[in-house]
Amino acid sequence: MTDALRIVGLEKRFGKRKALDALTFSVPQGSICGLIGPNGAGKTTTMSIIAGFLTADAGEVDLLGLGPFDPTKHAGKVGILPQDAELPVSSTPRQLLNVWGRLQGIPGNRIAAVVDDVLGQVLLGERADARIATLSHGMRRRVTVASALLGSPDFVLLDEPTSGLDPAQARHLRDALGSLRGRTTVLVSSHNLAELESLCDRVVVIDHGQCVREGSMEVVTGADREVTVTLAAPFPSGRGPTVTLKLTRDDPRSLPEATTDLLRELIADGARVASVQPGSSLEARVLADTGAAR
Amino acid sequence: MIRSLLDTWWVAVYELGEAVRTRLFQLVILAYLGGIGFSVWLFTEILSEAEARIAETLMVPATKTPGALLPQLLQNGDIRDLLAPLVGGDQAALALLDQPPLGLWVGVFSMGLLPMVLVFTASGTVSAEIRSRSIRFLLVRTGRLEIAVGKLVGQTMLGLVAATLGVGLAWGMGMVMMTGNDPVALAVTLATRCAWSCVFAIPFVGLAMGASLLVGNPNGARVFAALTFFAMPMCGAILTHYSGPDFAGRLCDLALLAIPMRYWTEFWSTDLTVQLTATGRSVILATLYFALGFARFQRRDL
Repeated sequence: MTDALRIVGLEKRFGKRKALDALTFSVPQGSICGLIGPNGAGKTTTMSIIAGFLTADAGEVDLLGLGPFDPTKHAGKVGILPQDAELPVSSTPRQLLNVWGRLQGIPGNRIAAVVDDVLGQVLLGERADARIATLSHGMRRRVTVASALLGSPDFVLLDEPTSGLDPAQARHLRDALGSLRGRTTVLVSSHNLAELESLCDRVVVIDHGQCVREGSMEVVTGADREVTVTLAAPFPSGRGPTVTLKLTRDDPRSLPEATTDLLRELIADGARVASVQPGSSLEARVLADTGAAR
Repeated sequence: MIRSLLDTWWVAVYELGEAVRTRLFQLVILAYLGGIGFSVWLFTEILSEAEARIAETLMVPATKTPGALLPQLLQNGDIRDLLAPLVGGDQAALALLDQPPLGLWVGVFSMGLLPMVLVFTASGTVSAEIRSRSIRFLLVRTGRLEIAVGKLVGQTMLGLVAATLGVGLAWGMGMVMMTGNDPVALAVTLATRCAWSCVFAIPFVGLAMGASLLVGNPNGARVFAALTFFAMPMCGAILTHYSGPDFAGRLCDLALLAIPMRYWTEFWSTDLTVQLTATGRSVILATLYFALGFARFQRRDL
């Protein structure tokens, strides 16, 4: 699988503070990748360098095999949702998306249909002609998401896409993003790890400007080699409330086989199984990698 | 190249559309139209006064609506004396006086007001987008040059919108408040003079855009542009005072080339070559000021 994004040795300083320190990771084409890390880890700086808003002090970025972001090469191929960019308030969503669509090369005879389509994706069809100033925070957020998805780009960068959305809207957006899997590469940064766990098939964890873990969601959460079984009281003698199975590399069994063996053993001991959870939660892994909140 | 020009055009359209819907522009345009309206009113007041004086001399009853004695005022040089200091002397005024004097008078006010209006609106345009980071929505779609030039063109188009509204207002007021105006001749003179005021304003748009590209804070950019705008005539006076044949004097002469106000009278020439040369200078000065700001904007983190 080729990489849609490849970052090698990225460095960025703001004054004396090193925001990115030889950051290296890649995102395979067609995947939905979560960019995770505590506040100040360098997520937004990374996103901003990929998008060309900031220039790196050192390192390489290769986006869609065309080198670092260049609007003349990437316009229309890359959609970006900047974290804290405010929308111009005097225009309507339709007016803004029309001009932005034109700028990214959507032909004039298709622009109306493309704009209608993306407004429908973010459930904003009814407010398409209302001034941005009259829209709620959540609606404005959806306009910015629409701007990132406009024209079906090959690569989408989303910085905190569900921030400010109500649960129903957030779920709708997650579904919309999930439907892009395989067709569009998505790099999404969020603090909502449960959301990322359900959405992403790959994660990159960064801390202090460095990549501390990178891989498929299964590998990062341990879902490919670890199972935690929770027991209901009373527990059999010698057993606690949870039993964790970690498959070693030299174990010839597959995880389902090993899990079945463990459950048989527990039931034979007289245990009552309350739940079986493959791997650890993403949150637990990230906290283990980056330490508790700073 | 074509893609770049198209992008510049769409940014200009975006800039124009966004700006005309803002309250700030609406207030500024009202102030400009107020100034144009005031200039028409002032002209009719001066005309009434002068006509009353003539009527008194001729011992005829004074007219209620000014304009009836305009031919006499043109003949005895009163109008020429009124316009001469504003358009570069008696000869220039005389050469212009086959056109409706109201059109020329409004043209003077438009040339004075339009640069101020555009300095105020253009100086906030990019800096405000840098501050709110809304510029990022454009940066992912087109180049920085296209964004900056598009906004420059958009602001110049705003000047045209303002000037066009001013022409309409001045024509309407002139036809209602005066008598004897040829509607077509007045419309043509107003349109021509306001078009030249737009050309005269181009370097000031360049100056304000340069400030906006240079200073990331919109208020800072406005203050910087306004200070530069108001300091220019003073600098011009100082440089003129020290200009001369020696080295320092020649340097002053050179620096004077960058003061757009210096070319005011050339826009009142009836010689098209002089006017076109002044237009070329306006474009070069606008490019110079703009390029100074763009050099910073091109490299800055946004």
